[in-house]
Amino acid sequence: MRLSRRSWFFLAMSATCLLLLAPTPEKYRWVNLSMGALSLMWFILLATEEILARRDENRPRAGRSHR
Amino acid sequence: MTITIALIVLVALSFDFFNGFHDAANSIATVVSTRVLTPRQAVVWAAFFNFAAFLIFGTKVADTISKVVHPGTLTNAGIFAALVGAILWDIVTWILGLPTSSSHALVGGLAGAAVATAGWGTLVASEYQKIFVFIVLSPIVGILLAFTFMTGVYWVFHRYRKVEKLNRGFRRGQLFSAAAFSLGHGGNDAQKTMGVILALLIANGLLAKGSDVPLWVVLSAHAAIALGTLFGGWRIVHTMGSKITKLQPVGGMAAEAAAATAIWGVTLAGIPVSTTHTIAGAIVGVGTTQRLSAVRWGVAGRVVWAWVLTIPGAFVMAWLAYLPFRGLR
Repeated sequence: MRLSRRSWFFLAMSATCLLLLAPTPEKYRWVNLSMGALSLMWFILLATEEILARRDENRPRAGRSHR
Repeated sequence: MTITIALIVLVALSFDFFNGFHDAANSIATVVSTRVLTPRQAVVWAAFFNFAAFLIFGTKVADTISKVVHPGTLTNAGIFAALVGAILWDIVTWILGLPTSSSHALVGGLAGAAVATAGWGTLVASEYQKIFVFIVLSPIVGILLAFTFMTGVYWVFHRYRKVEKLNRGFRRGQLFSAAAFSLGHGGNDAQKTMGVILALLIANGLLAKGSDVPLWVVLSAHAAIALGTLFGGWRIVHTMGSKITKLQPVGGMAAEAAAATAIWGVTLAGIPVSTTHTIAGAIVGVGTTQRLSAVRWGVAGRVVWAWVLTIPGAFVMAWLAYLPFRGLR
């Protein structure tokens, strides 16, 4: 299943926040964690929306096969 | 020596003026591009809240800036060169219409002057590490908060049919979000100049180590940035307000509210982030709610390159500026 560039963009931002955890001073790591989680949440929501929309597009509409 | 110190304080306030001038675009680009305020009204609005910021924020960011080089390293000549380097970088990027960070120009300038004075060992690595991490994080925070705000607004109002009335509401909302952003901008950016002046006064024995920022420094720094905003740099308004993505009042409001939330949070925590990076990220975040191609990535890429080059660029300019003034006492 191919996802849009927008979904991957949010996953990449989430990964960046987590990769920066090590060099971030401990006092400020809540910024990385909260933004990483928010970005991951958007990735999951956008990806789910796309997958469901494609499934609906591919599903044959009721009654069409009887024409 | 007193004349030299007064002169350097004046140069520091000039940097603050240029900071306001250069970054005015961040505060007003969205309100101007959505035609909520005329350019003249917008700069007055932003300048007022830039100045009023001293009533809200402490001076934690000023403390961070005053610690980026080991205490006692920078001579008067070094501080002077750091400011000249940062001002020159601001002028160059303003001519090119690039929304770069005046804060990072200052940090780069301080580094260049410190290295020219006494070598690489003078830089406090932990402070630079914090600044570098937030160079990457601040636009991400802007993008994510703006995307979240914008999507929230769509969810709440998607059944509402009176579009005209809704747009009027968002236009009014933009006045408040622009005010909140200008307060954050004044709070975070004016403190950076305060940090430099504080370091200068301590280095010359006029204040004891660990002293708080004197009130006259706080007031003059806020006044200088507000005055700079009043004279605003129009070249950058164009890049921020319409080149990165096309904004509607609702998008402008979401971008400013997101950037203001981020900047208020980090300013209260004492992190010197770039207001420019945050608002540019927020504008991109609003664009992404449409689709990724609604953002002009060519323009955004050019802006990011200017960000990457800001610290090295200001470093080199400050280093060169230091050479003829080495003997300044």
